[in-house]
Amino acid sequence: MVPTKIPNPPLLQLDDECVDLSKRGFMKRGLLFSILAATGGALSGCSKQSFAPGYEWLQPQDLLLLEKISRVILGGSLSDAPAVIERYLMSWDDLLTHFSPATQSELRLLFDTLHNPLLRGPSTGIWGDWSTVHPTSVKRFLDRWQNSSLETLRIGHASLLQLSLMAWYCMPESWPQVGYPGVPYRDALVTEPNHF
Amino acid sequence: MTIKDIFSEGVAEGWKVYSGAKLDQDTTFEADVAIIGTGAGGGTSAEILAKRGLKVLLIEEGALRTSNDFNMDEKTAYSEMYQEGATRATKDKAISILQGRAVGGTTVINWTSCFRTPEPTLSHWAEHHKVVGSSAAEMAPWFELMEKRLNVETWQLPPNANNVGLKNGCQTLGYQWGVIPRNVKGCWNLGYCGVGCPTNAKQSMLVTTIPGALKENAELLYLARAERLHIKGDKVTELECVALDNDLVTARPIKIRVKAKYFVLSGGSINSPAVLLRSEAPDPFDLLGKRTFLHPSVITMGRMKEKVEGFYGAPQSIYSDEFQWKNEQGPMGFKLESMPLQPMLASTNFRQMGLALNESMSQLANCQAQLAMMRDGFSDHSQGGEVQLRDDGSPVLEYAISDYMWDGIQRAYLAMAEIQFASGAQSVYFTHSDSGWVNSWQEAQATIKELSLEKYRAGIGSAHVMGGCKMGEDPASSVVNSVGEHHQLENLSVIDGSVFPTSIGANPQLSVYAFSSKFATHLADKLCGEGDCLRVVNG
Repeated sequence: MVPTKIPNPPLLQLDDECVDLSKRGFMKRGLLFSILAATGGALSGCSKQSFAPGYEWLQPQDLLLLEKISRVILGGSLSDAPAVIERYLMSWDDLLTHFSPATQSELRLLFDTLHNPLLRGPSTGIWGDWSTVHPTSVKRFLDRWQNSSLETLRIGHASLLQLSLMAWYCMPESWPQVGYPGVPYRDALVTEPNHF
Repeated sequence: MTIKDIFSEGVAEGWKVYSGAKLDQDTTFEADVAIIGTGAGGGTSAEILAKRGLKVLLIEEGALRTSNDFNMDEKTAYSEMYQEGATRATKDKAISILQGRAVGGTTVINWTSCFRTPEPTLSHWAEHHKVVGSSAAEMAPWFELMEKRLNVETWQLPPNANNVGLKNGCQTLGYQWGVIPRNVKGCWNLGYCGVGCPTNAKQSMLVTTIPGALKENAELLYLARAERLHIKGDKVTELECVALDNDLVTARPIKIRVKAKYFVLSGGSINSPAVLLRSEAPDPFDLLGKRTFLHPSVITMGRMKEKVEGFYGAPQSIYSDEFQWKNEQGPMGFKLESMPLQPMLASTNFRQMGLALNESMSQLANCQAQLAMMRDGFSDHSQGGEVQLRDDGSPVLEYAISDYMWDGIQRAYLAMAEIQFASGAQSVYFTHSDSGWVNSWQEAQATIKELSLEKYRAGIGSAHVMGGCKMGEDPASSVVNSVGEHHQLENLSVIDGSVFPTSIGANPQLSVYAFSSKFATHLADKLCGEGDCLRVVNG
């Protein structure tokens, strides 16, 4: 088998039981990502391959979502300056494009769940649009996922946390606060890459 | 002063180096020996085989990145030179796995610690896994050979403050500690080993054996992922590869075929079993990919009164085996070391958000890190994980954390906290979602009892992947024999860390070098007789 493109997310097996779309039903059956995969994102129509301008992975609706989540995870350390926020989101984008196809698919599914109006509420407790969400609601959703009985949501929380940390603390803008002066012997050792 | 870029100069002098991203049509390569993977096993094998006159082709899925590219930038390094963009993890994502993916393999991004395979490990293999010829005395010449080749020496400069913490704590408590031997030459003591050595001091495969092989007319094909071996009966007839794009991820519609008389599989753990699984290689006893080990690791951060600046200085120079060999079959042992604290990597040691995270990271320059690597694979309660293939053919490791391991992890937290407070730490944080900063050894002991022993809450990582193509004399319990030859396939050897029957119980690179040099020399003797080969005619 010679893969020639990033494959679609693998279809997970649906329960034979009837899907209960009530909040409790979702949480009990843990079909969250299964349903999204099975419907191919049809419920939200969000899985188009259209990236935000200048980005190679993140879609337009991902940007605000990520900013809101990151502000809660990274707290006051994340700058307010729009230019820095944009560089931070580009940092995420850069990291994401290098993940394996399987991991990229999983994260796309995670984002699509957070955008999907039918799935967002039951899984996060956030029923409104991300543009109106208050930081306290974001914090509550992250805590909920971290402590969820559903492994998928605990994994989702761990992923959002780890990737936010990686995307921010690789940026020089984050370093003054952590007392990291940057790389040593810059003049001698920072060189033009080979571009082999 | 300018650092020489070995590869740029080498290519200019005529080294045959090909990129899968640049091939413009389907291509067939031919060689006497095709080596899949250019890490510790592949590099070592390539030089030995090429020096004997064999025509060697090295095949690497990763990119070619060399000293000009190593600008000590964490994002670039973790994205480009680590498996899955540094997001490789066990199937349930409970354990994150740092493994390299580049010309030179994991040796390009490791932290330079070199230990001979511990004698108890070698004895265990002979006694329990039917491995022959690898007693400490029999392996000594191979360790010596590779220690000399890679300039392995006990680190002579003073340990940085990050490592001094471990030493001081152990001294205060009367615990065993030692200085770590490192494979470096002319080291600037910078601490950026994990993102590619910018001065070529680290004696990785990239700057030693691979140039050595290329100078002997070996050829290197990178950005080419080995997909499947074609097998007829008990012989491998060819290898099918797919070319990768410069984004390092996307497969290009270019087919690469490699014909060789002999195939050496050096993809490392997870990757080597994956090639054999994708190839549907004979596996009559269902062993392939099983018994894969990780040295699962947990971390504590100690906050010191003085500046530590653990982001500078040789990252690992002190170790403690106080808790490693207390019991052969009893509670799980672990080795203690430190780890580098550049900010991107260090931040993932804090499972905190918001204010708590800000507070912890603001004190990074005063943090001293400790790492406990669990010695998995020696007990019936620790049989390792299993490599599986995802739908797209890529590998994933399924590894369950047993109660036996959780018990070991809890004791590791206790040991590390005790040592950090003994070294003068004002407070200690455990890489665990339920941890805050505790202010005394007494408080630490109480806290550790409360820390839930649960995946995702406890942060667990691995920087050492071992096993999956186990060696041994009995085909019913091993994939390859004691010199790496596949039990069922006549012209295939596995020469990398996937042959180890258990974890090593020490940082594994020197073990891989020593066993690989032994296996490759045996292979060279087999293919050439005791002298050099005339070019072995493909036939």
